[in-house]
Amino acid sequence: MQMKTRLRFFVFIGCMLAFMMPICISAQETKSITGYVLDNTGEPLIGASVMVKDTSYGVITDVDGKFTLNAPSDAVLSFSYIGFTPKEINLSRRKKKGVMRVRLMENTQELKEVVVTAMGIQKDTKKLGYAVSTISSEDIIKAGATNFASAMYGKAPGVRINQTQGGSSGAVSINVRGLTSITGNNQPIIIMDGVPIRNGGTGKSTDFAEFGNDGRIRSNGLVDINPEDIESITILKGASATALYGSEAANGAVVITSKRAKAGKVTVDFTAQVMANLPAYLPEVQTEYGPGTYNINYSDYEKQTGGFYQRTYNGQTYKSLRSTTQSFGPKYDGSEVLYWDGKVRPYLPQTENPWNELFRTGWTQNYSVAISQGTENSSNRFSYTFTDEIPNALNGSYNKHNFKLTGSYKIGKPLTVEYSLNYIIQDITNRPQTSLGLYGSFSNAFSTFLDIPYLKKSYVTSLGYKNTFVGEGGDATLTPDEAWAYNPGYFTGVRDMLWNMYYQNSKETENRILGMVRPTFQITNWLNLRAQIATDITDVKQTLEKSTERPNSLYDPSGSFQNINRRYDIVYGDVMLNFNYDIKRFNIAATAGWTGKYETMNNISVATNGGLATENWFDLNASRYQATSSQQRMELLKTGYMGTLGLGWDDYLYLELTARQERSSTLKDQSFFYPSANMSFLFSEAFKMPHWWNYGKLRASYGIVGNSPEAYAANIVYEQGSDNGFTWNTIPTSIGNENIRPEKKYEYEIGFESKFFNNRLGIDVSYYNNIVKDQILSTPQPSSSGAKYVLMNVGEVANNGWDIALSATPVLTKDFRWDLTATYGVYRNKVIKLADGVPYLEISNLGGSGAKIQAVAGQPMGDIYTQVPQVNENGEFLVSDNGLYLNQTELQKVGNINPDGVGGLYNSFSYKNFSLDFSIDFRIGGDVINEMNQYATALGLTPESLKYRDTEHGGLSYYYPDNNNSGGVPVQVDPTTTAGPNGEYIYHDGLILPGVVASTGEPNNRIIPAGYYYNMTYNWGTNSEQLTYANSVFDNTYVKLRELNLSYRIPSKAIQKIGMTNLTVSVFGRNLFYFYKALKNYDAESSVGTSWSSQAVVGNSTAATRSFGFAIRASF
Amino acid sequence: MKKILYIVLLMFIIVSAGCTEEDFDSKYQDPSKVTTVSISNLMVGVFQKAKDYDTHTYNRYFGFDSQFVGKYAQTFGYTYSSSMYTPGYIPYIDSQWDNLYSALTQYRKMEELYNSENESQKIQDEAFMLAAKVQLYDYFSATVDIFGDMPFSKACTLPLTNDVEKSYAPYDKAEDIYKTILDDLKNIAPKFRTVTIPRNFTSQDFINNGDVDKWERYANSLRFRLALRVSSQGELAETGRAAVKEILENPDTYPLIDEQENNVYIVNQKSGQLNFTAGQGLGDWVTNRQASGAVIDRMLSNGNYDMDDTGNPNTGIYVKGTDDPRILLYYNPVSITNKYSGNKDENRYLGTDLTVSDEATEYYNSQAVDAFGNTGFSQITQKGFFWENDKFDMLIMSSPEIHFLKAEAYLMGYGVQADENKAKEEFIKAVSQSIKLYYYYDLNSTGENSRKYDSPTDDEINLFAESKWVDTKYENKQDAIITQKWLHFAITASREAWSDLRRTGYPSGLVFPEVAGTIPNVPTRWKYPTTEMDYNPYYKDVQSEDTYYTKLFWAK
Repeated sequence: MQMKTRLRFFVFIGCMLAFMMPICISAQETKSITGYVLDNTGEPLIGASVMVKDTSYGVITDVDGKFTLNAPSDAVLSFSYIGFTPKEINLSRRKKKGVMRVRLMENTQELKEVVVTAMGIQKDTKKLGYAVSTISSEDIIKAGATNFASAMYGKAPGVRINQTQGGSSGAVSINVRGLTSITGNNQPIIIMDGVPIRNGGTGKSTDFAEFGNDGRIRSNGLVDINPEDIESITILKGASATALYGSEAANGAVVITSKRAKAGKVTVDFTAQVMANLPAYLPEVQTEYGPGTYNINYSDYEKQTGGFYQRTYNGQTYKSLRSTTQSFGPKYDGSEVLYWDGKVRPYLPQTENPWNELFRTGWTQNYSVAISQGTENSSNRFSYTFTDEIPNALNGSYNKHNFKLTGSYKIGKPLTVEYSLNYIIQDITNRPQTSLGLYGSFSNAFSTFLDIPYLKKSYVTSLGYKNTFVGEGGDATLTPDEAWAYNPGYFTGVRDMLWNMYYQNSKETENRILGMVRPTFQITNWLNLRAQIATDITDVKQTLEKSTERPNSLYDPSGSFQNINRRYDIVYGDVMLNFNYDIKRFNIAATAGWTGKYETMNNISVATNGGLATENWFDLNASRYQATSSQQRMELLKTGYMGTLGLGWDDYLYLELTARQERSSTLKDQSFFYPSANMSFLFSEAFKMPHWWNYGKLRASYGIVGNSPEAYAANIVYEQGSDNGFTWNTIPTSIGNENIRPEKKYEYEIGFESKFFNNRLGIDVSYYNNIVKDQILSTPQPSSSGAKYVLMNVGEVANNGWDIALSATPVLTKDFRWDLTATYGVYRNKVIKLADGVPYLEISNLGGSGAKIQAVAGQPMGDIYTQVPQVNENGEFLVSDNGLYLNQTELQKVGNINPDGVGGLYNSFSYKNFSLDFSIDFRIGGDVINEMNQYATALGLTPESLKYRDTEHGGLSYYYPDNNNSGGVPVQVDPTTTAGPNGEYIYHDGLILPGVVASTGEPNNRIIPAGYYYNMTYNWGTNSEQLTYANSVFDNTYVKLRELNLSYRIPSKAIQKIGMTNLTVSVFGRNLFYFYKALKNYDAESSVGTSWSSQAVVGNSTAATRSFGFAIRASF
Repeated sequence: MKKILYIVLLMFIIVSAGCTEEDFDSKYQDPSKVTTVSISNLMVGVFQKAKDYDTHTYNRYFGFDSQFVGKYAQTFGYTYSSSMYTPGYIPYIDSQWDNLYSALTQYRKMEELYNSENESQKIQDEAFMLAAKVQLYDYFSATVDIFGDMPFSKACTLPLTNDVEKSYAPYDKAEDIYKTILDDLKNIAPKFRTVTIPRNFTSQDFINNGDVDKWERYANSLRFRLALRVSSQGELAETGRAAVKEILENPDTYPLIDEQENNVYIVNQKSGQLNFTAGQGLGDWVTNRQASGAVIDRMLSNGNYDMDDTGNPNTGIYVKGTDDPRILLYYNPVSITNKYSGNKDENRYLGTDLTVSDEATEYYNSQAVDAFGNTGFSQITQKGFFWENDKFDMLIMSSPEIHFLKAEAYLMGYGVQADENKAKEEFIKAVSQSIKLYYYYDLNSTGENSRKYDSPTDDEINLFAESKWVDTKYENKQDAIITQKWLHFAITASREAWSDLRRTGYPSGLVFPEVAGTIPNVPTRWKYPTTEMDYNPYYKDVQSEDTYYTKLFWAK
């Protein structure tokens, strides 16, 4: 009671003062005041702020520390400067006249920044002996990122973000300091308010987010977290920083701190944001040549007509085009040809870029309201965010409701209870499909001769079945009048894509609840006990309704119905006893605690079998055969005892030791110990530094962290299956190992951080060096040993690198401020060894072994291998008798997927109430395998494949003697020649591959048609002697303007009347353009999945986007 | 306040002591996997692993029969290219190897369990052991025929011992493996007469449904096949001949698969794991299903359609009563515009031919067309008697082969007294049974394009078979036997056809041109999978022999 009364009194006085001040000011005349602001040594302070108290009027000191301003004679001037204790001078009480000399005292207290470290322990940054990167709320929400991870591009050194395309429902991966695990997890642990939450990856069947390969872009757990609710994100990178997390911390930790209410009256924050997502960076398709094959395969009619094809339809012969997915046909000439709709059309491209017909502009709307209030004994914040997205795919929807309640209560004097509840509901209809089927498959490719608008109208029959064509391969149909005239070969993919999009509906509802309660009991002022219990429950229901494709009256039933229920729960608890005691200049901080985490997964799927016996009845009872069901279960328990001991000396030297003893249910009867140590030395405190060197710290740390095997990987078990009354057991070909240990990462790190020029320039540099031993590898065995793979602790991987962050405020005047941060992370990775006798490990295999990503001992992880042509001792390529290159028998290394460095540049300008921010991020080096380019070039679809196709594109002219296209040796002629000596047809699409003929040693002079070259050289598989993926392995360096934001804060005067404290409007853009992009014709980020190997493959993605948005933020 | 302190401390203790060993142990094991297995279930496991070898489905017909052994036996068609001896998809060859060792691994586990049982348990489980072993030996010997020496006696210990170092297995000589299998089969076969048949043997045996008579015949027939294979030449010739003699002279002791009703096969269950579609995989590439000109040449009196125009206007035509009636089932005839005369030739069988010019091949491949609109060479009939016929049983061993084997044994006097009359009798039986078997499947076919032809009469079949016995196109009677066997195997068992070709050199007259590619000649064996080269330290012992041209010990 007494407390409350006192508080009311202060509030009253405060209000009185606030009301009186403006009145006082207006009653006085003004005068000009000149002065200098100096530090305690007498040096001028540049850029110090001089304000007339209780007004928004003020100036900034110049290079001499000088200022001049007009102020009422009785005004109070306030002087402030970062790192110095502010000072106020009441002009009316000032006795001295003339130039003012104001001395500000340095205040190290002001520099005290607190970060949240492992296990939710808050620490003064100067005590940290390891590197952390912190990103503030503002940087996360400014430019319309739909999740916090994609807002971190380039903002933290050594942290690489990779966002999957596909909008709000796509996964994002975070990679801290390179790759540590060859086949295991490389994602950091995500900690929200001290509690580990579900993240998971996509790409593997065991990943929670993924079930089966349904061809849709999947999500992972971190994208659920609402960026609007985040106060800050701290990234713990090194082993020492994360050692308390033991076997989950080998890849760093992302520590999220949620917004909480601040003490004071009720505040309401409102945000509305609308963003248009335009499909961008779509691959270009050549528009000069239509469907057809190259001249070696020409029929007589094609020879006569230069590639047109003769077709009989309704008893009449027509000039038409070959049924093929290849686009090596005749040049578009506008002549009349029979189209597959049965009509005669001019032979011209039907669309400039067919991709535009297959995607639309997407829209993301985001509305958020947060109400918060803090009092002496409690604080509460409630927020609601609604997101609605229209995806770029032609069909589908996404919306999300996010409720979050956070707060704390003081119960009695010693006990504080903090709590948090987050409820997320997501409804997703038809997740965006991956489009590799279209980009990167031979049978589904299509050319610019495909009339997509017409196909959209005709792909479904009037009876609701998938339309077909007449003739060979065409399905029997109840509507023969609607069927197409012939199968052109190039519409199947798009027809099926449209069908799948509109007639195979997936509906998902995801409910996720994250709850946490954390009582802290302050036993004495130097000892407290904190406990927390938290849960993260995800429940997903999905139905998959595939419509009947063909009439049941003519065919076996088609279509299917599937119902999937996925559940993933985490229960987490910990108890920590914290001790903090100062004895004169000596400080001891220690903790002891226990933590436990229990995860369960239960996925159940039931599905019809053998089609829907009743057409389009989506129910298990519609199943033709007995419906099938499957289940996937997982349980995982991990507990650890831990302790830390921190010693501080005189506020400049700190040492911290941590330890964790861990037990996990994924390991059999084993317990592991993870120790670490770190030290911080503030030389700026210990020694007298020049006045411009404000802050300086050296740090060093060493730690051991782990990466535990996946649940059940170590099990020695048998498979059991049954069918038709037969039951079988089998020993799997990939077997476990009871003695498996976690992967262990041993890392040391040294760092240096400093601030200069009144903290206007800051630098933070870390060097780290780690070795990850006991890599858990499913080690290949000869099958004759009894297994193809056995789980073993064998490999070793080493990383070292630098993380550099620079922050500066190059310009700071009263109205204008420019802040800049730059980050750069560079790392080197090396596979030191794999298992004995195992020279390499295949990580992924593309195109039927045509290209492989491998870990090779002695090399960085992620070497790309493919077939390459043979060369002779002079370095010349060897050419086969057929005019194509002759490959080496073994696959050769042609690249590596690891970037040399990634970084970013973040600029923030503010002028009066305007501010302009932009962030640029870049990646240097690192190769990708572009599967789309490979197959599209093989089919003559890429602009690249135009080269040599005619004289203008550098093609040679030639004829085949006696028009013997398949057997004859081409004879080169002058481009102006109209016919060969015996009237042969002249072709202009020849090229001669530079090299020497393998069989003769003579320089190659065999002319080959361009289409033949592309189709043979770029292709799928390994069996052709000239096939290579080397031409589709590209450097993926890029520099991208990731975010641009322009905002205007409405002057407070204007809005105060309506009770607002802030009103800001802004326009922003995301993924606006590339300053530089090495990968031609495709987006630099066209990969899918969160695993490092899938990120090295361009393909299997959907449209990239360029977004423009508008936002309003208001506070009351 | 103290109260709270105690409560909190109590919580700490409860929570942190709350997880016992039991909690960890109960969560260690994957609940959807089993830790104990039974012999009966493992036998089905062996069958499952051998399934790709037994059944006429994807893994065999995409990569193995059509693109590998079928090319080397010329039972499948292919056109000239510098890489024509390179298999279309090597991973499927490797997968046959992997599956074999996985099957052996299952068997090793069965042995381990069986050896730990008491006598009465052993009696209950013996049938499973025997059946699994016969099936395993069939698969193993066929794989030896492809690779030669293989890890065998010491192979597949890793899952039992978890000792990686000791799991690497040395290579047994192919002869030794054959010897072991021949000896063992002799012992196994009679045991099927006396073995206890547990109730679940019948319900678990998806090959012979518990019919031990069939199992006995299968074991004897397999032994017969292998014995005859080694009888021609090589280290085991004497052993083989002795076995042939023993089998043929004691038909009651060693009954064989003599009649169609004895055939060993897996019935297509048409759902779930035993749902097979014959010929699946042929559809992926046109080049998987092209008719071989060599086969057509030997089925038609006028031979394969003549692409080089050497003057016979009747090539590619089926002559009823004279020609092999199985060609109607095997391939689609095509209509062709003759390259030289410009005439439209209807209803011709056009197979690939490595002896004609590329130009002619290209010409005919681009313009011949069959009744279903397929362009190019004659193809194995889609949705016909074999391919996409749900009623086509997954034949493992069938009676025509046994009679061909007998015919050869009598003709050549392998072990038994040479007797041309007996040889002829068996030859006619073999050819007749082959024709009848295939017409039976055509008649019962569910394939849309199956023609359900009337089977030729017994007389017609006999006449045809007799004519083949005296056909002068064959170099000799052995050529006649092997060629007819080869025609019997053409679609369904190319690997056997290839082994016969390597053993006897017949069918005569097959042409394998030399090419400039990495495999210049037709291989006589296949190289070990890269997993062996890379990971088995004993590979160095066989490395020098690991070429495409090392001959199997029984090869000519």
